[in-house]
Amino acid sequence: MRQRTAVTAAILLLGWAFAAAAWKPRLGSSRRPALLFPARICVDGGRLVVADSVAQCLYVWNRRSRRPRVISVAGKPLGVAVVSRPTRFLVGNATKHSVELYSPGGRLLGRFPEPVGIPQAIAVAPAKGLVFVADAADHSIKVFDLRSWRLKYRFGGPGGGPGEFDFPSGIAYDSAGERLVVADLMNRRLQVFDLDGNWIQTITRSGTRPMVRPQGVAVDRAGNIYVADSLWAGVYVFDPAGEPLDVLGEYGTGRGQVRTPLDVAVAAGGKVLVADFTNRRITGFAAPGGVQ
Amino acid sequence: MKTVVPLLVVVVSLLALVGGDGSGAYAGSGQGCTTCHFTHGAMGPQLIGAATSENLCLSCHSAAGPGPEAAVHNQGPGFTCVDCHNFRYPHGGQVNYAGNTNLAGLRATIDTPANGPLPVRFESRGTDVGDPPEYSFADDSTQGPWDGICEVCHTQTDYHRYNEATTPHYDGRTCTSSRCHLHSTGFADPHDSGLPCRTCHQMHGGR
Repeated sequence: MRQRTAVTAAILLLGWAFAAAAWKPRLGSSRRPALLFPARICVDGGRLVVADSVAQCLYVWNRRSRRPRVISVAGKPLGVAVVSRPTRFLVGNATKHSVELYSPGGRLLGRFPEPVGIPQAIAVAPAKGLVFVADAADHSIKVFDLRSWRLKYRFGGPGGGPGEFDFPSGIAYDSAGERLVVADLMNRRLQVFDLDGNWIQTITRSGTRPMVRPQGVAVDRAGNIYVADSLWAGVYVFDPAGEPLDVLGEYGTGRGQVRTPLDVAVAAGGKVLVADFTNRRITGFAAPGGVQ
Repeated sequence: MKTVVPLLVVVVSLLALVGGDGSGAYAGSGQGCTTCHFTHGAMGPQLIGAATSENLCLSCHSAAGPGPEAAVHNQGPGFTCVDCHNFRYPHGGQVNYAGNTNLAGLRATIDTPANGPLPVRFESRGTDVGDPPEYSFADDSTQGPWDGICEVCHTQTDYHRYNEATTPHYDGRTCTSSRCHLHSTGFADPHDSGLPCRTCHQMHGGR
């Protein structure tokens, strides 16, 4: 009798172990949408990383994966970036007021020692060994050393003049021009800087259309600039000189439409990916024009 | 209509020229008329820059904006921010029962889908000393009438249906507090909201 009970218990234990090993969060099911509120995105080498501020996690898609890997973040993730060799995810944790590093497996490896009030966006210049973080709390850009994680310098400050910010919410590194492009949200403009923080240029409109809520910004390999405007519900495209090239998307819930675009990223093949907060999805555009 | 729109354009333009500093609760906030209204290129009604009032609100009140985080109401289309909030007073400016500021700019009367316009009993959040203890922001008292900001619309929920004696919900907690039906998740059921389980449940040491 005792032997039979032990065998039954062993079978149940094995069954439970197999079930636990096979279980994965049912992302995309009707009970739990795949994306709740995508706030920030980045792409790197065929990998798409989405920071979901409400679910408090990163979703990571590799080129071949249909389901994302989910990396839990203890707090509200905003800015996100990927560094290589070894692969690490840099995450701006708005709850912990810090920049955190995660392994691809989702392990928290550490935090930058210098606090960042609201780490809205992160950009990396790998060859320079620099990490740029847009801090909306003190309206500045903080520049860190990629290896030591130490703060090297900062620039900006509150205001509406050249080189000043009002809630900087996006930042992108232009490897072609060795420049930084910052989305200066409440000043309704983009500002372009050299890597030392010297102001170069301000962009306020695309043709007759003013920029209103520039939330996220990206730069492609040719230096073209992409800006997600959450009020106009579209993505402005500018050439490297700041001249308007195109507008991607329009307001709506259908194919090729967006409602509250908060961030934009450009994949290696030129596809433009937009994090649409209200539609709870990532929409892809072939640059420029068609929807993918 | 033909005369109203040009008139509105003139008014907004003049206010912008003289440095108009916002209407309603925006007065003195540093957010001028042109934060929301556009003389050229307006996409929505009242010359707002967005296609809808919802998008106007969420352009600042999303996860990454400067305003407190909000989200669309999760119970299907047709519910937008301005159904519950007076968008001219989105940051206060209205007065609650005790003469204090109505911080959320909630409407005193909600146009409910089932029962038409209904007055809202908007009480304090019940967190300060001296606040009526049995009431809350959502007025989910253990006794009726259930006429708070959430309840006036709800006729098919398990708890707190409008003017109907249902079982008090979950230890008398308020709807939006305790991280149950968060504004930032569109007031979704916590099990549908995608919030991490640990938000409410403790695997070890839970009581």
